[in-house]
Amino acid sequence: MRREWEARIDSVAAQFVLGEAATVAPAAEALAWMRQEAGREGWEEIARLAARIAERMASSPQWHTEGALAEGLDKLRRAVEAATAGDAPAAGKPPNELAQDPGLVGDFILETREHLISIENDLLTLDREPSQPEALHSIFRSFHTVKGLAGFLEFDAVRSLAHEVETILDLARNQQLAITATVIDVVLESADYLKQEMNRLEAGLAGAAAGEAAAVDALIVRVQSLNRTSVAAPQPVLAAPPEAVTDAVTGTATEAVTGAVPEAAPAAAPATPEPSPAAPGAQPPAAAPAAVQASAEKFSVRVDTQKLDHLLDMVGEMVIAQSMVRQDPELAGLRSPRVTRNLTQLSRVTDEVQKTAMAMRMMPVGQLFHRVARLVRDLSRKMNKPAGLELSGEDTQIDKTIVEELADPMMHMVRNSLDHGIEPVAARLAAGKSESARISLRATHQAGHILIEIEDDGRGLDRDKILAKARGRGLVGEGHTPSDNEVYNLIFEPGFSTAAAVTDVSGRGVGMDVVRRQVAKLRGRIDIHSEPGKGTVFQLKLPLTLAIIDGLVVGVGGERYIVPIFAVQEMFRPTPGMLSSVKGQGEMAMVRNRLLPVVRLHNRFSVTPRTQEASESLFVVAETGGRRFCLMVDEFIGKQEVVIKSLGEGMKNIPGVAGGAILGDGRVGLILDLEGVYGEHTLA
Amino acid sequence: MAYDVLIVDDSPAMRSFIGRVLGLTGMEIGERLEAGHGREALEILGRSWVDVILTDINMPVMNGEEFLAHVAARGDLKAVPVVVVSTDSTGTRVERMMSLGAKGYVKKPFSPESLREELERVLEVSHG
Repeated sequence: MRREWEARIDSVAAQFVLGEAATVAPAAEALAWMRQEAGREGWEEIARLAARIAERMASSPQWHTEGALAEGLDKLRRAVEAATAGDAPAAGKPPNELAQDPGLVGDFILETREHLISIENDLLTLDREPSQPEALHSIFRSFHTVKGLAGFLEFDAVRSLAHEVETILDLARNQQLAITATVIDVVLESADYLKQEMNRLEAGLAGAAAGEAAAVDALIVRVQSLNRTSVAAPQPVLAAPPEAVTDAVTGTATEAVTGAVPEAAPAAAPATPEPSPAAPGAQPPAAAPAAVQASAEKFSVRVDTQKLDHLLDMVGEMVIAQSMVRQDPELAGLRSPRVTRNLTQLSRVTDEVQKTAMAMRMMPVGQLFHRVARLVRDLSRKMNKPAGLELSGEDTQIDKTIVEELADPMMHMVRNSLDHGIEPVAARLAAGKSESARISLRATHQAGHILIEIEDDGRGLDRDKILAKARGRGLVGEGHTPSDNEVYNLIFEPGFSTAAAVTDVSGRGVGMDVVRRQVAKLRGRIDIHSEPGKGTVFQLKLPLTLAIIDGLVVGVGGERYIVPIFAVQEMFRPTPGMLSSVKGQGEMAMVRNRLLPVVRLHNRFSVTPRTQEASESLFVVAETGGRRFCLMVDEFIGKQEVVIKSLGEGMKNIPGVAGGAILGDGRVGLILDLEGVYGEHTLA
Repeated sequence: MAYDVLIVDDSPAMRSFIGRVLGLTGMEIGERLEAGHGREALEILGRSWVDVILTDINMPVMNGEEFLAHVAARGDLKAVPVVVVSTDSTGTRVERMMSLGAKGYVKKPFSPESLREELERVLEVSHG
């Protein structure tokens, strides 16, 4: 509050000192602001004083006496100081006490971040449809709330910025300002600033030296200037009846403010009652987050993720303990119907508890999508390639960690699509395509996993170019003609980039290999479909949760191993005819007309197998990182969902081992990290 | 006597803040009830005893004005003073809240002293 007044009084003072007639206009503007603001605050004397100064200034320049005006301004300054003394940060005042409380500051950070997410979503909606009153209203309210909270904590930079943005948005709400791309840019930038401040405050809470708030004054000036440009410009965009505009301009802005309320109330109405199950899907994108927020707010509790993870761990243990009890031979020997019935009930309840605990870690994938939406907007403007983003399946629930870990790979793929996939406008038009490109993000649930697709309608992958480059780098032999799929998969090779020119957006050849590695880390896989001239689809298949894995339990000697089932293609007992030894490449097996390397699992982990004879063993065809190989094991024991347990610090980085699990019979099995298992093979 | 207070604000963090400032007033506060909007507040008022209400104006579902109108319409709540707590409302907005039956107004952010002063005024607490 005080800061804004000071800045304005100073600027007027500076203009007086300069004594330039040309500077009278901005000075008058500043004084008009003071008058209005003082009116709003109920500081009548200050408002009158500002009016008198302005009046005097508006008189012929020959009457301007620097001294008198400056004195008047000084008087104004003192009056403002006295008036704001109440909310000035005086020493020992209780609001500081609030800021000293990590719990309250934590609440503030959390809530501000929630607002920032919805602000960003709503801004992107406004970008598409500038006349979306709900989105605009919701952004306004978010900044308003953040301002109020920051006021209590005396986070002045945050408060001032939020106040200025709120003022601009209020003008837009009252149709006095058109929502242009520039307005959205500056508001997004303000949201970014707040984001950064939240990170700083959080670091401070964690005990780090948080330092001072980042400079905000330049940004504030930019936000304020949005108002100025709009006032100067004619307002052809406005569909509002002229009297409403003049009404608001002539100081009875209050009428316009209150007038907006009944308008906004019905707009928010669909979100308010008991959420009807049919509504969310049918609603426009902007309405959905609001509905979610309104319904979620009332009944939600915030929980530390660490506590949640511990709960999940314990639930996992409970499920195992339960299954051990159930399978206990002594209990089974009792043949008691009552025991059986109670055990069945126990297992039903534990199942339910487990499902509920898992669901607590789940969150809608939409949040991730909205981050991508922001990127598409920024990049398409930066690269001058207009692009629209279509989202579907935003409500699909997925493990929180996956959502977090997926952000970078997703961003990277979309960046690539825009940079390499989408053609420049001229090329698109020449190809008979629409000027604006289309990028779609889709999420769907499929049996036991989630499928995320990123599709663009660009030029598609250039098979010949990729192949030529791969041959040049010796990744593909001269005689070999790989399938389309194999060629497309080459873009995931480390250091592979076909971009002719390295742009500052992408094309440095880092990235797609990282994308694949990251997706593999999440126990997912990635596939590409591409059609020249039509576009490219990246398909990400991911598990629903990271806490449980659907595994194939296999045995080697006396040991048990768990192969993640998503990587398993098939299983069979090899015949001697399938096997061969290729020089320099070791053992190979011919599977469906393809020669695949054989990895003997017993060699990896130095266990004595039941048999060394391949034809007496079992082959599991597994795929990892785009490569297929046969894993030789003794026997197949069963398929089981297992809870992944960390092996602890000491055994964390053993190649080929992703973790441990307690099997249904109480024995421990190692969960295989196939990439590691295969990697060891190639090194050997 | 300890006063049971109902805080009506759509921001959970703001409710905590107000609760904290209440604690700093030195007044004896009994039950501290919270509602995210007017409708929820009305539900609480139906089942819990409340001595004083602190309400925001801008809220989803049911805003402060509608809430006040409902409170005023209910015969049982005539003796429960409502204090408007708002960030920066225009004079007319506050006047309207007053004409709807609000007894007091504090502007956010506020100090424990100013909150206490206003609460004592609307609760007609005698000094001494």
